[in-house]
Amino acid sequence: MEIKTDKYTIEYNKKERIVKMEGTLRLQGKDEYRDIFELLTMAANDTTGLPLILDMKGLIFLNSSGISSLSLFILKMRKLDKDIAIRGSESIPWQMKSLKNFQKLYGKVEISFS
Amino acid sequence: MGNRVVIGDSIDFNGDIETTLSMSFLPLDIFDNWARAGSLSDFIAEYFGSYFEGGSPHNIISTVFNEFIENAVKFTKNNSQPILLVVKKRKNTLISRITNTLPVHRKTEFVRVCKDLYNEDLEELFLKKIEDGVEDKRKSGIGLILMKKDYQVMTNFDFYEDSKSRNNVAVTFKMDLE
Repeated sequence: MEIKTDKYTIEYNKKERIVKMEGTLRLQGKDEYRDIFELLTMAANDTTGLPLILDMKGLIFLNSSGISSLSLFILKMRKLDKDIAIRGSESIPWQMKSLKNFQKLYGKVEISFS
Repeated sequence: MGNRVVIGDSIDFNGDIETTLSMSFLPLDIFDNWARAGSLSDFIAEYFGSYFEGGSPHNIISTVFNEFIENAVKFTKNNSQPILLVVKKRKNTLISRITNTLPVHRKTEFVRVCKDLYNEDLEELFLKKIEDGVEDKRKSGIGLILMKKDYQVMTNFDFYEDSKSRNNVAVTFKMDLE
């Protein structure tokens, strides 16, 4: 499944348990992130035993509404007691500065940078 | 000209300025196409980024400006009243002031948000805002918190009435770039 615009692409690979996020995500508010939230929720429901992987290595920008929406998804994972692994890029400053916030919301969030 | 409220850090907006960029834009244009906030931020990052070495200044400058521009648009009173944006460079810092009109009924809310930035533990405030968002899925309000706690941006909020008795807020912020 895929959500694709001229600014960003969200691609869910069920077999690999990966949601890949690329481009620039600067939507107006949390309401506008609803489709992405629903895709993530579907991926979470599909995934049991092994962690769901959020690959953000190609996500150049994410605004605070996006961080807020992803945070709500992390809280949902916490409620479901599911594992989640976030892959970031050490060459994208916002990721180095702000991805750690997801770990503070849920101790089972694993973050790795490459 | 009463009811002036000033909250935040003391920021020198005028001393030893090396270069300046000023612009104004209509909130209406951003509401019409939200990506324009990002386009403006990218432009500012492109314009000033080359002054700074290393550390991917473009991504940081654009991220910070996008948050403050989005914030100004969301809190503006009149979508047809220009928002003024001034950016100045001093040594390894960018200092900016964004001025917009503010509806009376939202002034109290905005003042409270600003005071929280200085009276609360920012990590705890962030977690609280996110947990509160589970109940109220529309509100976010973490942008300014992230700017202060993740980017160490200094901020100053000046709420004042202008000569036409309009409520304004001038948000000044300063970011250090290596």
